Amino acid sequence: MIKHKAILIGAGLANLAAAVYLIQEGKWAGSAITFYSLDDHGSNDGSRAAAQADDYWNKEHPLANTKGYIARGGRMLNYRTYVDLMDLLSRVPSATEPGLTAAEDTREFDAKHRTFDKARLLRRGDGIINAGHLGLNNQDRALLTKLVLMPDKDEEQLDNVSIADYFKDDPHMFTTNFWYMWETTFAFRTQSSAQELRRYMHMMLYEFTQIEHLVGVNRTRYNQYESIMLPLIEYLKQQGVTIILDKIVTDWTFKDTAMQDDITVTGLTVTDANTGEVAQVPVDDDTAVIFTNGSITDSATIGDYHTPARENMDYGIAASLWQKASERFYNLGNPDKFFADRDASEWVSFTLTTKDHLLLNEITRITTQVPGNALNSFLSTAPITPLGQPDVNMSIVVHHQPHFTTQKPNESVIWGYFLYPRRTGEFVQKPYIEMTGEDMLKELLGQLAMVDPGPVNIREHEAAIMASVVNCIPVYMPYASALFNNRAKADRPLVIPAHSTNLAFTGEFAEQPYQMVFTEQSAVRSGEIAAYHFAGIPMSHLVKTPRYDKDIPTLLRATKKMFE
Amino acid sequence: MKKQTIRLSLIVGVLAGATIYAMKKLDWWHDDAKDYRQFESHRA
Ligand SMILES: Cc1cc2nc3c(=O)[nH]c(=O)nc-3n(C[C@H](O)[C@H](O)[C@H](O)COP(=O)(O)OP(=O)(O)OC[C@H]3O[C@@H](n4cnc5c(N)ncnc54)[C@H](O)[C@@H]3O)c2cc1C
Repeated sequence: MIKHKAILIGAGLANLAAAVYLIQEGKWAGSAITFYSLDDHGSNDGSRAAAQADDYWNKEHPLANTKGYIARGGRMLNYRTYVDLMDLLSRVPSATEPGLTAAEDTREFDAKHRTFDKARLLRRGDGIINAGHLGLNNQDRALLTKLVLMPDKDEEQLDNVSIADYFKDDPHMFTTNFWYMWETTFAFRTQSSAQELRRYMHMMLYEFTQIEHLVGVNRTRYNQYESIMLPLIEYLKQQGVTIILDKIVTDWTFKDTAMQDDITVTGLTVTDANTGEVAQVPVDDDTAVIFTNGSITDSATIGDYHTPARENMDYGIAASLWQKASERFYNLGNPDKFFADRDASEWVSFTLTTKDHLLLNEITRITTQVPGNALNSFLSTAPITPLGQPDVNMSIVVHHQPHFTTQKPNESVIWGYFLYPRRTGEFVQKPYIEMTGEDMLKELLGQLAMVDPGPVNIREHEAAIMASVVNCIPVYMPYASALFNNRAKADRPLVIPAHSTNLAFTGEFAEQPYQMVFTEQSAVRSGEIAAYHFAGIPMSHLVKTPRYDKDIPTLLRATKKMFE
Repeated sequence: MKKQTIRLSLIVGVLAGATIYAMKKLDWWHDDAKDYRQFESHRA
């Protein structure tokens, strides 16, 4: 239904995109748009640690050491499939490069810093292994082919089927280089949804053919906040959009109708995150409400060099509000599928800041590649999965330096993560979730030492490396992979649910055709759809989606790759 | 000669039929735009 004003709940990428499209394509005035949000970065953060030290999720346990930098995630883009993201970025000026749009900024940087991973997988004793050899057997190939050939209309056949279920007669799959790379490039776990794996096999089929080098991966000049979020925020503010932060939308009221299925928001309860003060915001008939109904960094906590990140048991503010709507209406999905199964969704990451480049240079020597090009995953040799198989212990991304505009020339920033935080370290005998930043660095040094080709092992530099640390910030994210959780198609509300008169859902927990989760691409597209709906723009004007899953040369190349 | 032509046309015909059938099953001609019609706005 066409509207002329909008309230956006959450100021993450999806809703910022919605606002830009409302202004540029819907020709709305910026003053017609108001955001209420806890913060203005969501999952796309990147700042000095001090800026996040006492934020909402960390209030109860502020950091002792607030030095260094933090970005809870590294980020890989893919121009080929991120068509809506690149369209969005082409509409706003870069926040750091005068005279360029945010898209030109990224393209210019990326063209000069092409990704070509030379050490995607490393294993104790073997060093860099030949990841281009995917290691699939005929059963693996048959099951993957079945996924690729399953058309969109049949995807409900995979309702509530996990990846472990799908490959239950084929445990060999989980010992292949293909799986090690796929799980760590995209953050799939064996408990994740096979439906989503199918979507990835479709949308990322092109990348399947070059997965070991990640040549299709594009990167931004700086962290996601400065290179993607800030350009959007600055543009929207210039347009007169109101962005109200430190607010949590904790409840809403809906219009009572005879059939009880018309979805019309009539009011919001807004709680101040600092004072707890509660205010009521009425929603009139001409106002759209655009809500990001899940955030994978909600409830994420941080620690420091000597303190592990404490576990926060909150359900998450986005999911809590979603739940209040889904309890009332039957077609708004099931937030518990994603937010009540931490075992399937949690992971820990860390951001390490050092005051010199010694560690960075050592990693360059061991992995044979310069910073900015790689995702390196370290494989265990011992069995560590419930099936008694080896798996990836940890992965790191060495960013191009500097990764933050305020970073000093002598400083380095490295990001790493553990997909299974309850597993015990190989070098520090604790579960990763209980590790301090120092423990995580020791774990990394241990892994590097085991794959070091010499002649002088990195262990020889351990004392100097430890002395170079400014801070190492562990982050616990209980919902980082929640969007991959095993699900049925009906578990996520449609971007525009049936019978909705003024409510849209955006982000990774809203259902839209074809798109895959855990991508800035799908977040942006959901915002674009919501904006087009409320501004009355035909959906035929949406950015065209390329379909590599129907491209014969890509299919042939993928078939060939399966036999390598 | 005539027999051979008939046999060849039969093989080509069966192959073409099978390909078209498989592509139909795979929803090859799926109209992506149709997926988005559900999100189209209608005036109040
Ligand atoms: C560790 C990590 C690695 C990643 N790697 C990649 C990658 O390599 N490539 C890639 O494309 N993507 C990656 N992503 C995913 C990408 O960051 C997300 O897809 C994208 O940011 C989602 O945007 P969003 O707007 O939907 O949600 P978010 O960024 O989560 O923003 C939603 C915001 O809304 C707020 N909010 C919601 N409800 C309320 C409420 N009721 N009251 C107040 N505020 C509310 C939330 O708190 C949050 O701040 C990664 C994410 C993480 C965490």
